[in-house]
Amino acid sequence: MLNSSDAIATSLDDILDNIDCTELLHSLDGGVLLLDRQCRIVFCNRWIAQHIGLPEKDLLGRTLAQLFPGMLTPALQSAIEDACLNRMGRLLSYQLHKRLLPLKQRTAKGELGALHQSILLRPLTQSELTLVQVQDITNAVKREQHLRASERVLRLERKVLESIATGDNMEDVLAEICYTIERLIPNSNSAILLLNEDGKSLSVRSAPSLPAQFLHRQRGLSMGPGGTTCIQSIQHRALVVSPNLMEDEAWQPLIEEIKRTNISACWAQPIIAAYEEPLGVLACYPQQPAQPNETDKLLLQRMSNLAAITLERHKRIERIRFLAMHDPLTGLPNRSLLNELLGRNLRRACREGNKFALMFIDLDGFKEINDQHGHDAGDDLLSILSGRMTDQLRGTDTCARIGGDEFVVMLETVQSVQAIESVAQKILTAMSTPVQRGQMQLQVSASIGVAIYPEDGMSADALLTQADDAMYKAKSAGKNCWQSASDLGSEQ
Amino acid sequence: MDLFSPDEHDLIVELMNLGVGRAAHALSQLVNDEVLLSVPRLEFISVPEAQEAFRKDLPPFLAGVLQDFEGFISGRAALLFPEARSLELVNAMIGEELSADEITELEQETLAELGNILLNHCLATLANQLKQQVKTDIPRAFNSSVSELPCNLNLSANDPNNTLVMLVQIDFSLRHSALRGYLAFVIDLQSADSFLLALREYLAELL
Repeated sequence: MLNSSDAIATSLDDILDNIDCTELLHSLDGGVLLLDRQCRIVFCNRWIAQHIGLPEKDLLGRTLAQLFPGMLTPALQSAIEDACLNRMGRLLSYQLHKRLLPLKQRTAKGELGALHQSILLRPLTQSELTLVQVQDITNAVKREQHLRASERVLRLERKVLESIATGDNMEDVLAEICYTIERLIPNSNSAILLLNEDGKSLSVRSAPSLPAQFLHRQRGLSMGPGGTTCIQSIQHRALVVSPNLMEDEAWQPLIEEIKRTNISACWAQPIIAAYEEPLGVLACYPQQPAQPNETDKLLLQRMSNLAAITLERHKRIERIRFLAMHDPLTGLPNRSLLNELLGRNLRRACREGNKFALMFIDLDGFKEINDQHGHDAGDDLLSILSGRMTDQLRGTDTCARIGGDEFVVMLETVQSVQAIESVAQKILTAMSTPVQRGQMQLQVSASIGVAIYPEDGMSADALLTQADDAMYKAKSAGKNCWQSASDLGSEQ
Repeated sequence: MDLFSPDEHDLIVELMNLGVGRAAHALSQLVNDEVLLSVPRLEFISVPEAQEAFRKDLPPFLAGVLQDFEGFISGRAALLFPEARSLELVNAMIGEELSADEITELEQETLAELGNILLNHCLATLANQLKQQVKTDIPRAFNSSVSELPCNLNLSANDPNNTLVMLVQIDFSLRHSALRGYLAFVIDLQSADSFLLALREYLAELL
């Protein structure tokens, strides 16, 4: 008696014996051809006939080269001959052969589309025939393209994030963001425009592949009704699309510019920081009139988020740097920054043979104000007086607060003792002019010691010491006056 | 294994170089870029020696392409790469830079064709030059650990005394990358006799 597995094997043999192989081949979801030694088709399944678009009888007895005259690549042609004649098995992959057989298929939308395929040529062992298998890999190609696209976004995103994390120069990171967009939205240019400090206009900050004049021309785009796409995107806090600039009224004044730069559309994505604060605009300028698709929109959003992170980080770093170098009460440079600027000025004066002056300024009567009216009053007074002091100076001069009521002024270059005298006098007047605080008038004066490079010292330390000593001379001379370190200068 | 005399060995090296040269030419045309291939080393070894050599010389994980052949020599041939670099080769060939950790089906197929072209050219050149016949089956891409390799190569299925392995180092050099792979031809010794005969006839004709 047969055991059960023998029984199954026997019945499987029966079934296989009775299967109609031709019908089986016809029912396959893929192309099957049998070629003889002369490469002629001796069998083709239904799939092949369907995708070639000819009835089976028109295919039999003909070679693929006869069916598609001039349309087969030499690689495919020689692979077929090699398999049929020389019995060499071959695989023709999609990636190395983007064009194999010119087969078509209907897409979901009913259009005829190219069918991506790979082809296997298998010389059969039991016969002289060669089996050709055509595999439809259109879906695999689509999946792969999708995978590649998303991976490219991820890779570029990571690159941008890395350069943010490693503290790369902000300009480089912004340029990297622009390049990323240009790579993922082909035939487009990209720019980052930042909101100026006035909060009302935009300036181009990065446009690595647009001509330099674009950067200048687009400087200071003003807010207001009828503003260009970028301005509108800031106002609406949302992506604004101008699909065709030539027909866009707001762009008419820039028509020559857009012709020259070869841009045809503008998609503007605002760059928004935390608390809904707009920082600028990420703009993509396709070279053909176009609307963004969903993928493009997502990309712009992701890149504008990265730009926001970059800009916020840059701001924070600038803020930290500022705080490390400035006095928080008055906003004036602190001792560290003074030392840095003084060192720099010394080197320059030495190189160029200039003179410059240091003034050590100490307020007279400040402690009394603090004692009588409290520290708030003292702080207010310091803020106001430091503002007045800065007002007496040129932009290139420096006023630093180096202690409670001690300031140092550095006059970057001086031509004459008279010039120093004039500044000192102005500062004395500014300091001793009363400050109104509510009902009260607060009044102090200043004692100033002046040291001049190179007469009074050649180093920062020497000059500061000399100026400090001169300040004490002024104190002893009755305050509210200035004294020079050497006796060269005239006195008040 | 001293199955072949030095002259015969040199001839095989020469024919293999000719074969990979033709493969390189075919690949260069396909990818529109210069592909250079060379054979720095070739040796005939026994099955146990092959197993030892695989363990010693090959990285722990391999990607490769297998192809059976039959004719004046019969057996199974394989192109082997360090797994990590096979994708690099495919990317260099197709001019993309996908960094996906896993090779996708399309890349797998491309790798299979690459091996196919190489193995076909080597075998066809050997056969043509020696005026012999050989036919090949279709290629199959595979991934394997080095310990599974003998099984993939069908090394142990046959009597080890009747099997000979031709191990060929092959250097790929493309514009932006260079890498070393191996070709392993596992040859049925019964057919090695006809191989030997063919080599001797060829050499005799030269003299």
